[in-house]
Amino acid sequence: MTLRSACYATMLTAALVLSAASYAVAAPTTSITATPSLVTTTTGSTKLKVTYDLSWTLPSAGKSGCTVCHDDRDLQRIQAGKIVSLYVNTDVLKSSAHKDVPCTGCHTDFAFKVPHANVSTTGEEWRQTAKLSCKNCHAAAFADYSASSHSPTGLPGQTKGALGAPGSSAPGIAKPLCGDCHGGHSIAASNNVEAMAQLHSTGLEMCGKCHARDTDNYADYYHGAAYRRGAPDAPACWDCHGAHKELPSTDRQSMVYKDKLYDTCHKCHTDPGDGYIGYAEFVHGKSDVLKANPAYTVLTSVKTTVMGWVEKFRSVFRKSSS
Amino acid sequence: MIGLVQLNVWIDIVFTVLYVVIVVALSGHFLGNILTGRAKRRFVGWEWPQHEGGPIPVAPKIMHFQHVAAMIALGVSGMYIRFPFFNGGRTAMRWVHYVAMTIVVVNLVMRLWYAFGSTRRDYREFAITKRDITTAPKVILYYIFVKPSKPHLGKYNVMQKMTYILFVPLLIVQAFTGLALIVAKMPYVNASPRDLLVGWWLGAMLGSTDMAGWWARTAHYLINWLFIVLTTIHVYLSVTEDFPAFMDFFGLSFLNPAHDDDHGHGEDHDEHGAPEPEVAPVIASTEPL
Repeated sequence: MTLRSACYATMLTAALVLSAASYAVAAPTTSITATPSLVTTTTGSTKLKVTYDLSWTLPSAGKSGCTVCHDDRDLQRIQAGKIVSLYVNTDVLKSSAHKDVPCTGCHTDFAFKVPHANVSTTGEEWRQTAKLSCKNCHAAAFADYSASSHSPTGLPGQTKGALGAPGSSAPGIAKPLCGDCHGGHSIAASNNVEAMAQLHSTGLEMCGKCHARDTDNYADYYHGAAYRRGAPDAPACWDCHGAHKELPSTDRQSMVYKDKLYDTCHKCHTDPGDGYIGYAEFVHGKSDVLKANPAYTVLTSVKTTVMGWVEKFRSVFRKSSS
Repeated sequence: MIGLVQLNVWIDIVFTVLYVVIVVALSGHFLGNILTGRAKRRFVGWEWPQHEGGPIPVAPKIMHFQHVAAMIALGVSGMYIRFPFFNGGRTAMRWVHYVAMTIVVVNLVMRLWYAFGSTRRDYREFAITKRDITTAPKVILYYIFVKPSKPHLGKYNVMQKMTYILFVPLLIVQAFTGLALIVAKMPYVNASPRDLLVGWWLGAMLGSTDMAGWWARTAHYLINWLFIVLTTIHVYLSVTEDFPAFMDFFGLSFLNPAHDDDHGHGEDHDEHGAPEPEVAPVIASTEPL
């Protein structure tokens, strides 16, 4: 090899190295050779122009790669016949607890392709993976969750773990993953007082998606009724039932197992003795206690009878006037 | 023994029904006033009881007015704490309750001092005498329209005396049980009012301090209903039996169509429970003195 050719080779190598380095620091938009065209028209048809592997490397500690496309409010795709927005509000991300976590920290199955070829038509597996990726950082909470009745693997003895067991408080309903309760991009930090207060107030809405019967009958004097009206010191569901290790009340490890109620009630009440704990049945059982009260039964039947007479009178009056 | 939960449910049901019955009964009583002509004599003819002594001083009126306001605030805020009827009010209603209860306790102390310790002490007006007891049936018969008039023995009739006397221990018990619901630890003492008032004795009897608090709350709620019932009856009778005094107590006496005391005072009010002694008619003498 002559000196000239050696110089040429050296210069070419240096140029290649420098251009590769420039891609690492420059905005990727400057180096994308083809723009992905997933934008749907208003009529809903998707124009997919090209499928290609990314020609640039995503920065490992930033979101700028993903938000190039996903910060676009018009970014949509069709999933299972419906138009689904793929827009991610970066302001929400920046104020969340995960603002320093890269997208791929949760979306662990990102295949570095655009469009993300491993995302199914419905996008369900993509969401499932994200909702369960919490275990990579929140191992303790995930361990509790895995041992709870919310775990898709089910409790010992359950054959169909992914759905609520018959006789449970959510029979046949798909069990929640982490993200189903905690949300995704907007998840708030636990030291954010305002956000935690807001989270506290969403208990009925969050748990009521599956446990409608129990959220409906959470209506006793000082817990349920107060909580429903926004009392900040009234317990949300998880204050008594546990945040991650929810178990049936018949399970010895459950926070609402009869022998554990002292410790559970003691979180708020200074000295809950046996008689005091007897109130626990009322927390979700007020309507049952009322229905068992003979005076209430009589009053309800009187009210029903009187309302029946009123309705009859009104119908007769309407007939005579028409 | 009935459980606390069932007891509370019973209190809810019984007193709610009782209050409805009382409101209906008072409505019926007012209808009776109309049918017997009492309402017409009073509200149209403006024939109301005469009162001995001068006009009511301003201080008692002010005391009474702010006491009424505080009691209403206690009732509404207390009922909200038990049955929240709008969002986000629990903390505010607790503070309303604390402020109003302080006012009421101060009023109670002032009223007791006024009754027993002041120069205008009026505890005798509330003393139930033997004559009160013997004439009590006549008072009741008057209120149920059997008798056209009731005996007048003093400033208050026997039923008023009993009610006003009852208010004092009820207020004291209510203050006690109410304070026993506070669980916040006090500085220096490092104990809560619940610990100090009921925890050490009632808690020991019932098994836990919180259990003592639960019974205190139940008693507090029950007495709250007694106040609601008695106050409703008190307001109704004040309006229907002595509306000018009612207006006067709220600073509305200027609306009273008869300001002077010469207005006739109605045939439903006996003087001292006995017929007037016969007096020989005065005949102008024609003889020189």
